[in-house]
Amino acid sequence: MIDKNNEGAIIDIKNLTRIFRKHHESSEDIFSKIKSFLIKKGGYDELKVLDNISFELKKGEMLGILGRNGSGKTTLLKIIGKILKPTSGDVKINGKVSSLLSLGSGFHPDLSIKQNVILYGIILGKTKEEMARKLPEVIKFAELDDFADSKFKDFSTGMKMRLALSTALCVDPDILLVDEIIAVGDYAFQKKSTDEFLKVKNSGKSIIFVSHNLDQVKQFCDKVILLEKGKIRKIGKPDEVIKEYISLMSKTK
Amino acid sequence: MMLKEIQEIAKFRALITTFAIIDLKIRYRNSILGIAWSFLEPLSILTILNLVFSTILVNSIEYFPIYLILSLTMYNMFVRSTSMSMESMLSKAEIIKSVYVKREVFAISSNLTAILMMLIEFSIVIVFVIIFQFTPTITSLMLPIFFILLACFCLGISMPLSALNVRFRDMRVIWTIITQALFFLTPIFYKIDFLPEPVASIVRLNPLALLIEMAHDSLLYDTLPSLQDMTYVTVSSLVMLFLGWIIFRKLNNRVDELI
Repeated sequence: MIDKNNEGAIIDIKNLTRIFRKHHESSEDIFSKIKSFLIKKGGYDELKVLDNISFELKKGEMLGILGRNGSGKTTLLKIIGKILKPTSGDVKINGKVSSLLSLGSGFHPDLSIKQNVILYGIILGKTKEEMARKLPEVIKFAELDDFADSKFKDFSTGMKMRLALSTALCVDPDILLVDEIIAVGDYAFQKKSTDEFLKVKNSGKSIIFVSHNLDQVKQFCDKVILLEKGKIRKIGKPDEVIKEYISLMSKTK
Repeated sequence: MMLKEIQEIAKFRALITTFAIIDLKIRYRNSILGIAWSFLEPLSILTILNLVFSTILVNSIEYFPIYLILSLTMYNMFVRSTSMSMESMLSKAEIIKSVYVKREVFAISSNLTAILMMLIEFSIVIVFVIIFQFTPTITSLMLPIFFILLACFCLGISMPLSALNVRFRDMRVIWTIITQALFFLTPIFYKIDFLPEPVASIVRLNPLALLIEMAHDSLLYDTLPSLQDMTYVTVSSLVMLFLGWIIFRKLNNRVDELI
């Protein structure tokens, strides 16, 4: 094993800012577009979803992101996953990223489970041959052996999520992004995916996840970021940040 | 810079072919005749058009059925590639929102689907050539080159359309009108020479029209394109491809918050 201290940061983010345009609902038709163009008012407000974020993550570290709804957690994940572009700032990612951000994305309702696993693996950057080889393993992990030829649309939410998780794990990423979905599946599957996360962590890979489950955060993370209105309110060891999070949540409402 | 971008797109080639094949497969999902439709559909349309343009409106074009199916193969390539590309980003919005995929991938894979369909239709052209006992000459070897140029031209138009449709859903209506107009403004069932000047010269400016005419000439009339025409279609198709990509990259910057 390479000494962790000599490893460079796997994620290095400096002064990241992301601005969204929030369009007014009334400005969708052509007349209001022309009007807003003429009076030089865009028909939208600018919203700073992420405001001057800087942090780094070393190889093998687990990062948790806490914050209330709308504080910019998912946007941050998406920028790390190259799904969104930063408005300004510097984002350096050294390694392959696999993301698990929303339910069933990348799966096609009319294809069978086998075809879907291969498709999703290819979307995440694997080749068809590699996926064909890993297929039995993925389906087994998702506990869907009996349904391998069924169509995806016939599946329950939990089954879909299990499949997504096991596919995302099988592509062997350096960084895995997970958005509030570890709590999928029944208790047995949750335990299994928890074990799997720890295995990923012990093999020197990084996981970044957003969760409202503070026990999980405490259990997994080396480092936690607390976001508030797009800014980093606190970053550090899980215990301290969770304490801050709880006091923040109890202060307002 | 550009080279690096192309390499980045090339990394997704497995995904491009997979999307293309899936789109082709699910096109006929839940249909009884399945893939047979890709032959039956153009054949039925061909029968109707042939009836209209050779019996009702008499014309003097030799081997008219071959002429017509070759035109339709190329025109359909244009219509399918552009209209499928236009929907490609919207229909795969979930993927765009949750996984990093180079966004050119969507238009390129739709174009690949259209190319595969064009090849299936082209086999009908070959069947017709055999049925009508027509002997193609050596000039018909130019056809693959025309098809490649056509594909470049289509992709150049498809890429900006795929991003534009995310922003302005009006595009699909506008595009239906434009392709309908193009059906009559390209030499599908007539020859450009039949048109009066200056209309003929204007129609020739359209690379699609010129390519279809050149394909007719080389397959049916033992005629090679003039150097001038060949240069024009080559340059205009490649410029369209390049320009389309540049425009796409500009439009693409805002796709992530609009989709």
